[in-house]
Amino acid sequence: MPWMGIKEKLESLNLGVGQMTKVFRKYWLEIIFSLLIFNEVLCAIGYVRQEIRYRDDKKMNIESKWVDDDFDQYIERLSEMNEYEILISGEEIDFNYFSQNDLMALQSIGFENLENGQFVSTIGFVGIIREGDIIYQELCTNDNIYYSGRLGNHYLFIESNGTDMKNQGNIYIDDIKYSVDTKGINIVVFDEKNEVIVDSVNYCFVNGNTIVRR
Amino acid sequence: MNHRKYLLPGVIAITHWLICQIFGIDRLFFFYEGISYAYILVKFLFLIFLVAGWEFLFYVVTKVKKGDEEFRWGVLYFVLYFLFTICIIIIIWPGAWAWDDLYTLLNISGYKSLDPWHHVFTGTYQAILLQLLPFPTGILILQNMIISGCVSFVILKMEMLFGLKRTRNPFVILLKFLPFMFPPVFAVQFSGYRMGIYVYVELLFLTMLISNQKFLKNNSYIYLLFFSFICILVSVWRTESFFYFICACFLILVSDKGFMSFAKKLITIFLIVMGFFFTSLWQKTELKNNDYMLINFVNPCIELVRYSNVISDEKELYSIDKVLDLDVIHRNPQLTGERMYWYKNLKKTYTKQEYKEFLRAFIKLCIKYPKVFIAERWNTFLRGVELSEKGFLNLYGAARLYDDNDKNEAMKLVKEKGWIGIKPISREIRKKVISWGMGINEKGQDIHIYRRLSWNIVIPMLIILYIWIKSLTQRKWNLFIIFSALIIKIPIVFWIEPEGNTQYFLIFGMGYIILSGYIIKLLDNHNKNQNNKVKLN
Repeated sequence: MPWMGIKEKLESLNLGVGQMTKVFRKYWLEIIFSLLIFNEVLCAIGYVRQEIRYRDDKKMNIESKWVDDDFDQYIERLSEMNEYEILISGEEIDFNYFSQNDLMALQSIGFENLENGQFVSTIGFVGIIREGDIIYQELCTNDNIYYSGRLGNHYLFIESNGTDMKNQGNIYIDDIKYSVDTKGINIVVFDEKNEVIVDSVNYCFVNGNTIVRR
Repeated sequence: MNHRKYLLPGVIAITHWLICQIFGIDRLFFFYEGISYAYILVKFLFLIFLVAGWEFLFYVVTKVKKGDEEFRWGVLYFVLYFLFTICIIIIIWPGAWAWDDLYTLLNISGYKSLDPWHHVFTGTYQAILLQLLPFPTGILILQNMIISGCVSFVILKMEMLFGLKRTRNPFVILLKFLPFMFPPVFAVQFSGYRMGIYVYVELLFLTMLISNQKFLKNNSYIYLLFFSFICILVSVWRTESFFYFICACFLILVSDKGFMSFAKKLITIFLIVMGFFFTSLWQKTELKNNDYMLINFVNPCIELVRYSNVISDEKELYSIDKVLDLDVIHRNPQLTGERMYWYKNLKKTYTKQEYKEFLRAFIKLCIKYPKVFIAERWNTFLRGVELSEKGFLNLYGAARLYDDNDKNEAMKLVKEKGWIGIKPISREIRKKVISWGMGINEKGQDIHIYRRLSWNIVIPMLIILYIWIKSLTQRKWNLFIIFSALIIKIPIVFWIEPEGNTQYFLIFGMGYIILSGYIIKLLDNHNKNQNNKVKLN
């Protein structure tokens, strides 16, 4: 085997600093490429290569200053915020666990299409409020719904589905997702003038409990 | 000149061709009634293929009978490798077909098209092979026969270049064959993707250039014709390889007068240039529009659109919207451009002027947001060389092809055709072997270290880069020019690859062939030293 006498050969070379310089001068290219290949093998074993994340550069800050746990209180707060854009995407909303107060709160800000007991199954919902006015609201049961279009200087895309099919309770502004994206009602409060996301929250209604995620 | 030796194989080839036509062998695969231009072209090229094949067979048999050492070893290497590939084909029967390659089969099956999307060369080549063995796996059998010929040629030239001793030691023979089992290359040679054959033709071409240090030492007209043919194939078949044509023409021009007369130089360059332009024109005419070029820019373009500002970049976005539907882009924020192109009607109907404006707008956005463009390209490159976790392999589709729940639309259409030999011998074994080949265990999880090392393209790429720089420092200009044509593919592919796929960098597997040559030479030298020591003692 070629590596059998390597130790003796190295000893016979009597490697001092001068010798090392000579070896490096002679084999600098081989040494550099051996190190590069060695590094590549190490990287492959550790799989450390990460893709560059560039979309995040454009992502707006999410302030999330509010800490309301009750859904009806939260909606009441929103009803007073006329300067913001309020984007809602409901995913698999189960009305069996939706309280009368919660429903009334939503209806009070203009989403009158929602009525308790009307639905036998879960529903999907998309709603948009701009400066206090409802500019879009749509419901679905089995199929998917979406809204896409300009919102001032931005492009808005909201999608929702009624049943457990595709996990689509998403709210995108300029192709960047700001919603928490899970079952229940996803709300994004957007301050377009200051280019800030004031809040992004998810209310999930399961077995009579309300889980809040930010 | 003895012309009689060409007569017998020529007659056999013509008879063979006539028998195929009389018995309508091709009708086992092709469904047609009228005669189209594709039909006439394929039949004509099939005749040429048979004549060349029979002539070559007789030539090799004569050489072997005369006891030519090089040819005898060549036949041995050919047989060993071909038998090995046949075993693989039987295990994974009917092959590692995945998606696009199945559509190529479907598109060419009526002689109505040569499937220009995957290049007219691909459709023509497969249609010719199907004349001989008219079932999908027939392509793979003949393809691997051609590949075995290339492998045998490359090994012989490797022995010549490194001054290796020929030995029947199975360990040394295995070491010589090992680079030709490089998983990314091995995966495509059992599929109908053009890269399966292309990478070996490319290897053959580079070996022909490298092995003749004085360039075109063997300059008979038949050799020059064959060289020109290979050069055209390699330069035109893949967009990023057009530098080979420039490189070959330059090397012919500067080659030594003693080896090639000026007239022969002119004839060869003329053949290559004409062949290059006419075949490129043929492909362009068949494509009919710019869609094929468009898909190269779709991924970075979509990322730029997503990053751009709807107000300040309004003009550029307007131009892009004429070709790619902006609404579709914004409605699918989670999809890549390529996925949207195929599944979401991203592309609009556009005019030539609109396409030009689209390109201008795209370039403007690239200049305005260079980070986005470079980052997107870099991520795609990482996937392409199998360094990123998100690397995409066609083998995923190939492994699942016979699963009960597989939704491969192309395969459904193939099954409807009723071609012979499309059922696997064992579904389970086929799936396991293909999955293992791409580094996936029985539970469907990646075997990380195996996958990252065996599919890693950067390691052989570094070896090629080393030789390129070494040839520059040692002023070996022929080698430097040849390897430059290879190295220049890296930035071209970086710029235009539509998706992160290992296929675009397969030729860099050549680095392992060179490495194996060095290792065998080291072993040879070591053995020589040992023997000398024994003699001295």
